[in-house]
Amino acid sequence: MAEAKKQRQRRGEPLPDEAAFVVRGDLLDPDVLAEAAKENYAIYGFYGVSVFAEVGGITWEEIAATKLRRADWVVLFTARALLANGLELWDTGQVPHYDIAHDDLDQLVGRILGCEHRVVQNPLRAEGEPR
Amino acid sequence: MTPPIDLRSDLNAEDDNGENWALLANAADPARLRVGAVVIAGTPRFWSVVRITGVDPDGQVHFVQLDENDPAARTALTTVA
Repeated sequence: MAEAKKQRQRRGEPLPDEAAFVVRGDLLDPDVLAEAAKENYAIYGFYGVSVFAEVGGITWEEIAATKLRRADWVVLFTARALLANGLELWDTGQVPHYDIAHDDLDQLVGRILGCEHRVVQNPLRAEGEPR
Repeated sequence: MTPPIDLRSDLNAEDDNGENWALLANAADPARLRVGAVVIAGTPRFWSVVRITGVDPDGQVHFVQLDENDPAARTALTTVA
């Protein structure tokens, strides 16, 4: 693999409202989080875990029904909880995508797992939508 | 039923264009991952039928998820069933 990393596009937006929900598809699995962060480092040169945030009037339910429609479960954080836990939210790619970022891989995964969150069934599944 | 995963990936991950991405190194058969190929990407718990849109020299594979009713998605799932 080439050593040079791609420059990740940042949108330059203000942080999401502190009360905004930050949603990630699937259950929280430390191995999956670590692998995702390492893959992000391989391409973009920083440890980041992809999530989506309630910005621009988009609700987490809408994100779950579109971006995450194939996920049976979603995890909900608040922006406030993530930031208070020493994590950063980078506005990467296209709205409403973000990366939860930290300089240290173990800290990144540990702080995500230790952050207050709720695991909920994707509302699409609760409504009986087939996979 | 979870079909065999062709490309292990985090379906939360998006590139700068809003498409999903993964590493070519995560492919069960990297030779299959050509632009236009329809494969199963994700994990056994969170997967989707996807169409490959690009493979970069650094090993980043770009793809989009197909709607369940897309004929190509139905064909892919029928093939592995």
